[in-house]
Amino acid sequence: MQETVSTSGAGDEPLLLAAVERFQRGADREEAFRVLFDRFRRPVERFFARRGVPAEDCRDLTQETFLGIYKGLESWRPEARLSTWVFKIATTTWLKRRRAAAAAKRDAPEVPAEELGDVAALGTGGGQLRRVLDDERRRALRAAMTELPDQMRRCLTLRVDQDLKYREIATVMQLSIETVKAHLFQARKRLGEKLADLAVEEES
Amino acid sequence: MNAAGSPGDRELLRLVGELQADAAGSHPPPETLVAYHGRHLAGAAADALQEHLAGCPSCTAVLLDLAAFDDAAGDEEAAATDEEPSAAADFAAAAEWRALRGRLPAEAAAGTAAERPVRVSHRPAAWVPWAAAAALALVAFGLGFQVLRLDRRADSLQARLDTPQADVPIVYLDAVTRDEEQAGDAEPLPPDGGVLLVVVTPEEPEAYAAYTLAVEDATGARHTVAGLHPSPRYGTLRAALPRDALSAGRLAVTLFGIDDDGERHEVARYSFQLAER
Repeated sequence: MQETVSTSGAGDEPLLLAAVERFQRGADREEAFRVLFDRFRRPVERFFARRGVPAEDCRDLTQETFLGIYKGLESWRPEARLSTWVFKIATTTWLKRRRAAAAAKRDAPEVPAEELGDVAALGTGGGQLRRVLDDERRRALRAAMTELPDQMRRCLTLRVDQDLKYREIATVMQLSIETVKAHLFQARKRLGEKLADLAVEEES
Repeated sequence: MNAAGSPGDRELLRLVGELQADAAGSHPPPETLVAYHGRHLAGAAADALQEHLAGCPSCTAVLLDLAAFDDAAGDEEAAATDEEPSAAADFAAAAEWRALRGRLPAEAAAGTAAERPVRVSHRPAAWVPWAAAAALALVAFGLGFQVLRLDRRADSLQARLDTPQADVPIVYLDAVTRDEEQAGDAEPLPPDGGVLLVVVTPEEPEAYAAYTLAVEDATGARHTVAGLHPSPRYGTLRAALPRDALSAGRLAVTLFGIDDDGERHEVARYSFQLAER
């Protein structure tokens, strides 16, 4: 049993369509399906990861998605792009899981407020002062960020708030990775200077 | 997945709309997001959308999905730059394919019709079906009983693992030779009903598809956690040990790799100390 099938490269739609055609003819179905799996595994898995699904569940949902693809591939017709169809199955899988989770949450027994006492207690004590200081620093950082040029600020926000990678920021902002790196470097430098000034003002 | 105008766009817009509706807050129309993805949006409209994206993780996620599903080259680049190393990625992909293959309808696993062996008919003696049925019934009963037992055990372990625990103690272990012992302070035993999370990092995580961790205390009592798979990103293995499988004192941990034939191979040894709370 062969373990890897190379499918990468831009403009792979013809290769994918050829695999679908082989699948629908019944010729070497498993190998044909493997081509689609190798092409879409990562996007599907990341689709779920981006929605905050834990890694283990991402793998489960990815498998559900591919089982859906396998079941529907026989009757799939190229009216839309294959990638749109795969995206649709991933979306359907996700929305189904969300609805099931919401229903389970509705059915869950209510926890009396007094049982939440331990959680409330976490907010008191020695951590309080640190939290106040952190809040102040965060506010100062936010204020300093508003003074950055728009593009630079957006890159930094995507990095800090959404934890995106350089490549992802480049995709979202439609910039090159080099430009994103330069923006982030400049942003850090400017913010560093700005916050250092604030610290000096506070001390004096 | 092209911008508005090409066949299949209505479907794509519907999907984007559904994902946006699923997220809280207000969002730009799906047409705007899809047009931006196709680089058909410029000037103030593009500027306004970028501003929205900076503050909206759900629209950002949809935009990244559009790019990932659409662009194989971009996806490969992502794999090469910031995902797991390529060897680990291949390993993860192969493992996931094996798991998926096992769930595909039987015809796929059996291959195409042409590859299936020709069945030769032999007429069996009259008693053979009865004997086979009796044997099958016995095996099914035995298996059913065993599955029920394992299921109950798994449920009870899962219930323990699901029990809320304010702070799960975590022990990160470094491999030691047979004669030395790991330095460092003793970790406190977790509270009743809690778990201790043990994290180890084998030198070559991709060497085996699965691992088993065996923990042995000073009295020789042994607890084994099987079916561990290395994290694709960090190569770590994480095993949750229930409190009632642990006792205070020094614990010896052995990590085994499980090869494709199900054989166990010792990979590393670890050691750590547990103390009463």
